[in-house]
Amino acid sequence: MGKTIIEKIFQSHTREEVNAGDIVTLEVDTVMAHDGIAGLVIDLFGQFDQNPSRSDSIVFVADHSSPAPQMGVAEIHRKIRSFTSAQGITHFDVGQGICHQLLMESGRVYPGALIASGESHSCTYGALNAAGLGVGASDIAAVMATGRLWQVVPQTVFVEIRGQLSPEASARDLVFHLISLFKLEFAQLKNFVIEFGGDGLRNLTLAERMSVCNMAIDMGAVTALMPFDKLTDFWTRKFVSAAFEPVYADEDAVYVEKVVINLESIKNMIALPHNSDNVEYLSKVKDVEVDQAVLGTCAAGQIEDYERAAEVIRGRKVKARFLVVTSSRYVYRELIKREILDIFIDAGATILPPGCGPCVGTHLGVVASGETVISTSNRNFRGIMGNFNSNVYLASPEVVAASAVAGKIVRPADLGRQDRKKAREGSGA
Amino acid sequence: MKVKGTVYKLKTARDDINSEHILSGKYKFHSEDRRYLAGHLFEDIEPDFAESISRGDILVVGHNFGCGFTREHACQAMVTAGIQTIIAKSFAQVFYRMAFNNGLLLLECNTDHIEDRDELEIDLKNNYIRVLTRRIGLKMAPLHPFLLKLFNDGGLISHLKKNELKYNL
Repeated sequence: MGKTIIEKIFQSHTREEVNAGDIVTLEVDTVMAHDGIAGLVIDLFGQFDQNPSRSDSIVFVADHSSPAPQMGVAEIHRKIRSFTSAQGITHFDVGQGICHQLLMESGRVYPGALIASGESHSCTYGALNAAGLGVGASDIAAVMATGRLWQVVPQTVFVEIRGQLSPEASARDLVFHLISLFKLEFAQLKNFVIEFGGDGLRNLTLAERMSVCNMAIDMGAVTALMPFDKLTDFWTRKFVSAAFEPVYADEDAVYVEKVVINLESIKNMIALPHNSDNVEYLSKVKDVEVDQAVLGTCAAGQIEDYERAAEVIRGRKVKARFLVVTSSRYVYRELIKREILDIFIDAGATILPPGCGPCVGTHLGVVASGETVISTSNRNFRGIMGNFNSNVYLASPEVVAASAVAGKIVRPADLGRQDRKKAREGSGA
Repeated sequence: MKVKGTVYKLKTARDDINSEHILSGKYKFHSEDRRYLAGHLFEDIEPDFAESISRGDILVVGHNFGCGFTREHACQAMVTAGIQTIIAKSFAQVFYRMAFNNGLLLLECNTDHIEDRDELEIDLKNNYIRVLTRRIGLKMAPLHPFLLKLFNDGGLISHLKKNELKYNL
């Protein structure tokens, strides 16, 4: 019987037989913890009272609250430094960037790789044909001690992408459409991954694919996978030195469900407070004033995402507080070189250091009670940005940028600008 | 094997209880002090929870318990507060594995038939919940044997230490 991409990746990481619904143990290529859970992970790992199984497979990142905004975090950052230097473990310290971005840029995310991450949005790695599994602190500590992760083998839902996005639509609109679809049609489906395929996939840039995979967890999936193609190849040539074999599903792979998406039909959408699955057509959202706009995070952290927002902002001034948080030092430097940051600064934006920024409310950009935020991040639960009494809307970089200018939620077209130009192949994500 | 306890059924928002509801993110950096964390459980949706919960209580909730981005601190706080078992109509996936890793027992059944302060006897071999106070029985979804081992061993780390750092599937 044929295998889906996830089944193949699982099978190449275990001696046990891989069947959906069974529990297997997987040999993990990279295991990652960030400063949101690192304190706990280090304590839990300490209970094993031994050295790590494979130190070179472990990565720590200070991104959620980086640089430390208060003493408690500073102590955790120091604890991470002590631990990682004593164990010879890679640590991306303050100011380097978001965990997922750094894993991808450092070449640890490659086709066929299996990564255990202490952060839910490791499903992003699917865009690079790799399996990212978001797990908890105990799992991270267990993988550090044993090199293996326990996992229920998921089923696979195949999403066939056809056509291409209209000039007004973006990857985030596709994401919200998928969230809505999965909520309506597959709410009862448990323990599944989404495997994307189809002729239309080549019409999505790598940055767009990363945005799509990033919110697979919000579609109810365990993770997402995409096949390897020319755009994946462009990234791997630039960032990956490890040897790898692209993973493709077999012709006779078995999928629990199949869905067809025609990209032409995708319209502008937005997630309303207080759930990422509370999606609505942007045309239905009127007269919502925003106090703060946030651009960046792992959901929209590629150079192209900032470029799209810059196209909308260029030559204008923002009414709302506009926070631009860079996703990594590399991206930060590129945005300076390409004069993208100039556009934001001229418009009145505040540039934040590489990291998660306002997304989880434990760093800069916490809002006051009653305030409204529009953000390119992927979570909008009550309290997510540090204040239980605030409203967070999620949208594409273009809509966030336009809303920052208008001081209320609008489309770029409402500002009277020309349609954005799509980033071409080869410009890099 | 059987598990017994008294039900604590949340009064408010029984469905879609997310991590922020269970334990606010603002306590994230206090992971060392579990007793402190236990005192802040559910405070945003049920302020008197911490005072009312007792050792061995069985928490009963609705659909999609533990959704949102999951924090292990929340599971640990619940264990410290004395909750051993959570019964829900359904659980969010990431929370499900995290809870078993922390030695909690998670069971799925139709919780509409369970009331606050009910005395329950859970038969893990036959997948059956007896509501002793009202003499009714409920079927529950069966558990994978490995998950039962995690519960019996007191969580993932204890399990691995007991099994020479191997997963006893």
